[in-house]
Amino acid sequence: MPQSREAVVVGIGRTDFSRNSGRTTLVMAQAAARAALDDAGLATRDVDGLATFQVGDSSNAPDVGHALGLDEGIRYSLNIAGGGDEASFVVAEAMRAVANGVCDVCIVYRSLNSRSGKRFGRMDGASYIGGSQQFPAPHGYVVPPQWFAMAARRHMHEYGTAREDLGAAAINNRRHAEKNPHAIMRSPLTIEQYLAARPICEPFHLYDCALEADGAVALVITTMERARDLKQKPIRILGHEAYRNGSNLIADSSTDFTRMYSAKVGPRLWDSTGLKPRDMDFACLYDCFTYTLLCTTEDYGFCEKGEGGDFYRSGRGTYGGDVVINPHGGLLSEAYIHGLNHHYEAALQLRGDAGERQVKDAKLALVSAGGLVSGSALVFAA
Amino acid sequence: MPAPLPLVDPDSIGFWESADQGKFALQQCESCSSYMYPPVGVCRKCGGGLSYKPLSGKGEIYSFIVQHHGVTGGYEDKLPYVIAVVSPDEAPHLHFPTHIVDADPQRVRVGDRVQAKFERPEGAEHAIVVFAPA
Repeated sequence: MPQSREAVVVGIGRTDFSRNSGRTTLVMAQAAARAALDDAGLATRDVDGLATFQVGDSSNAPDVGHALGLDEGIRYSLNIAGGGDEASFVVAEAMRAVANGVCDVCIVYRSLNSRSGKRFGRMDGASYIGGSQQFPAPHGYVVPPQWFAMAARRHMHEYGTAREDLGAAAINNRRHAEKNPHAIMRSPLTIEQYLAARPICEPFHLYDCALEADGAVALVITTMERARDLKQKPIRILGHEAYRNGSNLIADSSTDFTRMYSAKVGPRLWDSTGLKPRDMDFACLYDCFTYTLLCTTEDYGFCEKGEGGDFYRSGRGTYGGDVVINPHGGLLSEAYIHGLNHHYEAALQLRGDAGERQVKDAKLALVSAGGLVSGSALVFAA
Repeated sequence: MPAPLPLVDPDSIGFWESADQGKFALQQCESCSSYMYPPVGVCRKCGGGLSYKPLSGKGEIYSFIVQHHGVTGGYEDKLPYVIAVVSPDEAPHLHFPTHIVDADPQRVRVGDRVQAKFERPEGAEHAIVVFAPA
């Protein structure tokens, strides 16, 4: 094993985000990877590792490597079976692979048609469901918006959280998305519009749910040594934590609905990095639903438990406040690219390349991924 | 399109056969008396042997949602309806997924007392356990 090296993010790439890409996940992954390599100043032939996560809805790493023309194959391939919980884990894992010399240039990508292809809010045509899902499934309780809404209701019960509080988080994201040309939803959202939206699974209404979208994002990771000759300012990783628990919410256990994985990952991450929430210049928090954003904002320590709504309403989560949360608009307003878009945004901001929505003097960022009982997070530094 | 049906396995068959007899039963440890859900092979806490034991079917709503569109089949004519997780009186730390019948969705509250009832969906091999206001 070679001596440990420092791994850094040296390039970022993406496709357009849309409601109907008309393209395969393979072609979008190829495009995002090539864009990230161009951004870095690397060639496709430099790539010797690829990493992704997916839920049976995307192209796997060796296939994308082939599409990049890597006829000699790759040294490192990681295909994690999992959803947004895994986004920060996969980035950190690829950085560890480079640091440990398993490969030298690794592409991390996520490519999905989550609007025009496999949608997460529906389950059509399943006639028999086994395992622990055999208990909720006959009651029509099978998809993520229902699980997160169930947890949100308990938070409302225990902390007096209101729909207005969830709405404050949605509106904070949307205000940021208004200045992001890549965001799908850029028109202003008022609290009146939020409250009047059609119900999906109460307490969730339309604007509580992520914006299912089609697209791909890629990051390029290599060593700090190599980064010195490349085009972009390298982005460092200062720490990473992950937490998973099989006691998923729908099948019980002693899970506290008012806290998520972040109640474990947050304190561990602050402990291992010696940093605190208030040290962050901005954060890209996974926001598959408004409640995920509200609850994890509390769990990571940006405010006290039960104060998430006030945090967003009073402007503490935006420019001029404590910390800018989701400058890109997040999954709720930019696009649901399963959280890899949060890592893209974090790198862009830390390079100082975010244009009109640039967070001033951005040096440190928390990026999180996941919700309910499983997730991961990392701290990026300029 | 009907609602999904349970793919019954050797660990869960005791639950479904109890439901067919009008009983809400969960695995209970023969050593430490802990209730298990979802089913496992031996007790999660102490490794003891497990057998299905009928509970009273009484409990309270730990949390709930009001579902406005069907994400599976089987509920088109019941919309909006209440999906809930219920804490059984004998095992309040467990969250049992179910749906609530005989209640106005807009009047259901966290903490409401409920009682198990049994329904057999069209085409289903086994009854399912639903809950109604107690």
